[in-house]
Amino acid sequence: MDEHEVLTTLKILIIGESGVGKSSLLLRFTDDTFDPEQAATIGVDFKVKTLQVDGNKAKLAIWDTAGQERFRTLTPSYYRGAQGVILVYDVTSKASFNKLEQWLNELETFSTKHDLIKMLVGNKIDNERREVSKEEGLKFARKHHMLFIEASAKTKEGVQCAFEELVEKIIQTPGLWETDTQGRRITGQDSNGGQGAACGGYCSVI
Amino acid sequence: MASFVTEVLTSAGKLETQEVQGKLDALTKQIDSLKIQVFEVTHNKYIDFQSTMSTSEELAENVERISKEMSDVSDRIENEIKSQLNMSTEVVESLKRQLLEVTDVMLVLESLVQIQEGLQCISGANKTCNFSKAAEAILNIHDLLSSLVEGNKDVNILMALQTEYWVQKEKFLYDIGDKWKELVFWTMPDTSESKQQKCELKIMTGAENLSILKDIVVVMEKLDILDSKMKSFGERLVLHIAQPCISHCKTVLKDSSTGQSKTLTVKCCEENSDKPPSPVEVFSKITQIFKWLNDCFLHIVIDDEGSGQSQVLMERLGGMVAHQVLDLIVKQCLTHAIPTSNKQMEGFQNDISATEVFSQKLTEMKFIPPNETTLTDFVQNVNVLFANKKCQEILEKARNLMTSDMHNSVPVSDDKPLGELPPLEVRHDVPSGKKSRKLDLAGECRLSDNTFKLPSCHISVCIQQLLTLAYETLHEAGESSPQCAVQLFYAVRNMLELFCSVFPTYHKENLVNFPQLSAIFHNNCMFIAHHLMTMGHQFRKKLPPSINATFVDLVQKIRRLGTDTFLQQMSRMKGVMAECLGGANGFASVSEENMYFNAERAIKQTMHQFHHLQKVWQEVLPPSVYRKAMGTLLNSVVVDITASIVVLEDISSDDARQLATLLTIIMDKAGPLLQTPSDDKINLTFELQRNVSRWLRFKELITVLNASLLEISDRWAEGKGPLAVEFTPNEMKQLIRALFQNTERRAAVLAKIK
Repeated sequence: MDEHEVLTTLKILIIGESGVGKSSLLLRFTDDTFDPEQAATIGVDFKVKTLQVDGNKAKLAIWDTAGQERFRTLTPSYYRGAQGVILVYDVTSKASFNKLEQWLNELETFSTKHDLIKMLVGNKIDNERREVSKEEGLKFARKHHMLFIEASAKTKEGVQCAFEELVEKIIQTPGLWETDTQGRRITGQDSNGGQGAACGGYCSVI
Repeated sequence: MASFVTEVLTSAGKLETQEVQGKLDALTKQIDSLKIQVFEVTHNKYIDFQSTMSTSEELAENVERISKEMSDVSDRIENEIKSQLNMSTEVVESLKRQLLEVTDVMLVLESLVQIQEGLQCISGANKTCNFSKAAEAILNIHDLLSSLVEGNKDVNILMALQTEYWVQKEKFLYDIGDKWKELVFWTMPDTSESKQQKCELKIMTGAENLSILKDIVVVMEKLDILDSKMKSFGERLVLHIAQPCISHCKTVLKDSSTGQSKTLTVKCCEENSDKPPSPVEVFSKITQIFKWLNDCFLHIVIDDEGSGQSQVLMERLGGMVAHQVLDLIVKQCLTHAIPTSNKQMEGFQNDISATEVFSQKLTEMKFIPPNETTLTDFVQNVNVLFANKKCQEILEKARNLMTSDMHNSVPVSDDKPLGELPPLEVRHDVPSGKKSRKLDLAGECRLSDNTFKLPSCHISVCIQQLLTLAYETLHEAGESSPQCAVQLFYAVRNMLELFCSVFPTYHKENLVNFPQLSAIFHNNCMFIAHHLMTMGHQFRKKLPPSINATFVDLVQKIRRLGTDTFLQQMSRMKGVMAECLGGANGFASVSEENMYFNAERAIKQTMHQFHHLQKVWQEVLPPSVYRKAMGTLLNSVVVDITASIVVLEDISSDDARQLATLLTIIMDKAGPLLQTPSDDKINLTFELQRNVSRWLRFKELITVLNASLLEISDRWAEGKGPLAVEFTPNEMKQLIRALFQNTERRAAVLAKIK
């Protein structure tokens, strides 16, 4: 509750094929609930959660996106400024795993920060009928320089860990979040200062 | 010495004196002989000459005397005879003048006698039927009178004779006219009776009468009145005989003859429903008429002695009325007979040959000159005529369709918008191998299933018919002669151009006043444009290669027409919505009862407008267009509302609650507005997001109105939450200041919004 202790606010994106359990993962993480009949997400969903990692408090602004093609907005503006991405596939669906390349491609196209941290999550490991092995997942993650974890929103397994690891890695990455606030400050100065300030800035530099 | 010289000298002198003495003697002798000679000569000459001279002088005197006598005599003679001669010449001249005068008088008198005889002849002509003699007399008198009257204007008898001549001439002309009327007898239809008109032409053709007729014709020609007579005859012929035969098929033509006369009767019953007779019928009737006339009297030869040419009466008649008759035939008969379809075209070949035969017959009878080709030209030109008529018909039909009621609409499905069309091409000439290769090629790069597919919507019945007409016309063009095909093709293009200008103009009021009709018009345009994309290709192979058989250039124009019209309607609707919302007074202080009432009223009115639009648009427009249109209007409404609320200075918690209630009305009702009866599978929440571009901003506003400071702060999330996407920091700060009291926590939250 104590806002002052929060180190930073991080923008996290959850992407992946429809039905792989993006919203379930989010709800398990934020509200600790699970709905087997979770409805399809329309457009985007948004949740906020404060997380303590290594003694640092970080506030997570998590954007849950629609997987279904028909519910996706034409310009995915939610990619803008994201510092971390959770890319989800379903271990019981080879198809969802095969689509990962495409998702990475889209991420590459729209994300504004190129050093953003990517976490690959293989969901639904509670299910017996596995189609994608852990090794396959791991291999894919290594290939694309991603963090990797297998999880189950239903059984809670790995969910908290996935978010924590992602946040930890973001905080450890120099420039990813500090520059964000710094940059913010700089831009803030610019917009607040107006014309007069800009002039002064120039003088001091010279 | 001196003595010697003196001696010498004295001896020399003595010698010289001796010699001169001798010479003087000789000379004296010579002079004497000469003296004798001169005397002799002189003596002889003088005596001879004296006598001759005296005789000559005598003679000269005599001659002089005689010549004087002679001149005296001649003088006398001249004086006397000349005076006598002058006198006799004067006498002769006066005699001559008298003679001339007498001759003149004789001539005049003779003329007068002739005139008198002529006048008698004229007045008697009617009884004796000797018209030609009378005519000659008239011409004669005319010549005589004109020569006499000149210079003799003061002679009373001449003036009297002239008057008499005029009187007699007029009487004669009148008599001839009477006789003409007797011989060529008309029985005119009674003008008061409109139906069952009957006209009779009776011509006396007995041998005697015929010769009189001939006589009259010649006479009239001589007197220069034949032309006017024939003209009036021709006019009657055209008006009462030819025209009924040409214009009405129920006209009955009958000719009968007695020994002395022949009669032609024309009976016609004019009825409004009368359909124009066929050319063959008309030709046979007209031929019959002219043949009859020719047999009766028009074969009479007019002797035109002056020009040395002889004309037949028929030729004269033809010169006056032929063009009139031909004109009538073309306008009243052939024009109607021009075929309107390819089938009739074959039948028209008979008419063409009939026309040629007819024209030939008229030429033989000399009614028309051999170089007159009006009729044959007209029918030879049948292809052009056919196409012209056809095009005219098509455009007329098209125009009628365009000006018929546009609100009668019909649904078009997306698979066969026009229903079954006739097969466009018989494919048997295409080798199967080629065809299959084409299919293979098409398979490699497949287009979307939606390409060239018109979404299902409603269009005006008349537009469907219009397009069917276009297809039919092009189809017909494909089967016509190249010349005709070009015309028909351009008729279709003209028809579409006509649509662009006539339809929006004619239905202008409707398109402005009724949203449904502007939607239908939009669909109409899209429907036409849709077909135009492929129409050219469909028929290209069958049309002449010389024309660029395409319509795609019209596609953009027609689509723009549709979208522009619809967008104008949209902006009108937008204006209506904005007007409704204006009643909310910027949504200030809505916790006050009357302010809330006004705001609620405004929103209810707006939603009512939307419901109305839904009713008139949802079945008519294609679903996607419908949602886009409604979404755009909804967007303008939520943008207006959000803009009003964002700038409010103070929003009490009651205000916020009431505002949230009001906005929730819109939020709840907006989704169903996008529902169309055709597809129920759509997700309304998502459709709102997709079609109402600022919908999320509106939703976030409602969230903010209901939220606590902490919730707002979380949703802003240092500019990483959804609030930051939809609102600028300044807007957000303004809202927070309006919603919350100035506390430390508010300041902290505001500080974090940058």
